[in-house]
Amino acid sequence: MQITVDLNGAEPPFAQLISQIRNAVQSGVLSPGDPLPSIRQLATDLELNNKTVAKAYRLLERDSIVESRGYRGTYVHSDARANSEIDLNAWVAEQLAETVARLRQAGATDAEIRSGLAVVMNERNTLGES
Amino acid sequence: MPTWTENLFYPLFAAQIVLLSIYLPSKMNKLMSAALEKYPPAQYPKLYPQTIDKYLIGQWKYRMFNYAIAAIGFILLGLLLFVVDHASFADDGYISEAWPAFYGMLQFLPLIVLEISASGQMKLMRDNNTSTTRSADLTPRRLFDYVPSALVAAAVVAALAAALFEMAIHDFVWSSDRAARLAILVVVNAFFLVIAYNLLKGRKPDPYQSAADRARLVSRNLRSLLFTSIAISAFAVLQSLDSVYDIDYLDAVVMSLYLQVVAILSFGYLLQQQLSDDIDFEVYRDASA
Repeated sequence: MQITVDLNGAEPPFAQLISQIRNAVQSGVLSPGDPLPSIRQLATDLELNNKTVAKAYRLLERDSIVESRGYRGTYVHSDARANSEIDLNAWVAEQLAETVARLRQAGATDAEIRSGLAVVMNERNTLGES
Repeated sequence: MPTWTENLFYPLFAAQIVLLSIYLPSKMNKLMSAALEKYPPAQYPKLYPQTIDKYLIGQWKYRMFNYAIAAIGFILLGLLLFVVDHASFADDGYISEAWPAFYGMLQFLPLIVLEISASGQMKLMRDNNTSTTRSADLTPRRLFDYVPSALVAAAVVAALAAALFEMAIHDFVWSSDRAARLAILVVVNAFFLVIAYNLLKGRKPDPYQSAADRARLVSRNLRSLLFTSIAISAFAVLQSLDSVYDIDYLDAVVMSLYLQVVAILSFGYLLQQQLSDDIDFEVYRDASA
């Protein structure tokens, strides 16, 4: 299977990689247990930074679409097809929409919501770093 | 030198001149001309990052370079036949293996220049590639997907056998000679390993090459490396035998034969792949034309 990345595309390259691998799993082009190229090979072939491909693989692994088997490489997860149906981004957007609606109902302005979200995110980042 | 080996060496050396400096280069030249004719720059501009004149001049230089080396070879053959006192070059009085060896190195020079020039062309192609889309095959490139495991095993066993044979034939007595021969085996095979690794894991030299063409190229190059490695191991065994048994008179014959085998396995094999019609040249076509 060929994977194509547009360096000037609207989506960042790592997101293009994720969506194409996800689509390949959903359409059955990639089956559970299929081996994927190493981070280095894919980055070299696509002329991308290793970190970009590593980020895509990390997020796909988090979503249990791929699994790393140490030195043997990266493979399509056994439950990849079912897991690829779950769109974490859509779920996050849905949850935030509900929260924002509740806050607006309570009388909070958009500026206050943005400010509050920034405070929460900053706190989380600070806690994460400490 | 026994007459029969002398009689064998001169035709073999002539064959070495013809094969490496006339026959294989002429095949290469025909290939270049055929490519220019079949895939003209006007329709396939991506294949030619430089002006057409530069390719024609390069082709002419390559032809002249080989003719000059062939001429040197025939002069050398004449000198070896009628002028050179072989006893003054080798203590044993036989034709020294250095003659075909050093001349062989000279014969491989245009090929090395051609390889360097080709890698320069690839770099220009990459620099000229303005496309922002990049494609890759989503399958890992693994050695045994490209070459049969039996061939890899044969190359490894041949190298180990050659090393073991060198030690065994000298009753496992270590010396600087043993070290030098084993070092050559190790260095050459390590060099091949680096090339193989680069073929499998390295950057795609030609930015337009299709995945199928790349797979074919990797497979053929790896096979060529493995066959060459086996030939080198076989030659090492012959050298080991030579150092123990009194067969010095065969040195020059074996060296010339060895160089021709290596040329066929490397140059000839790679040439064959370039001549094949299964290469997808449409990737070099001007999309706007």
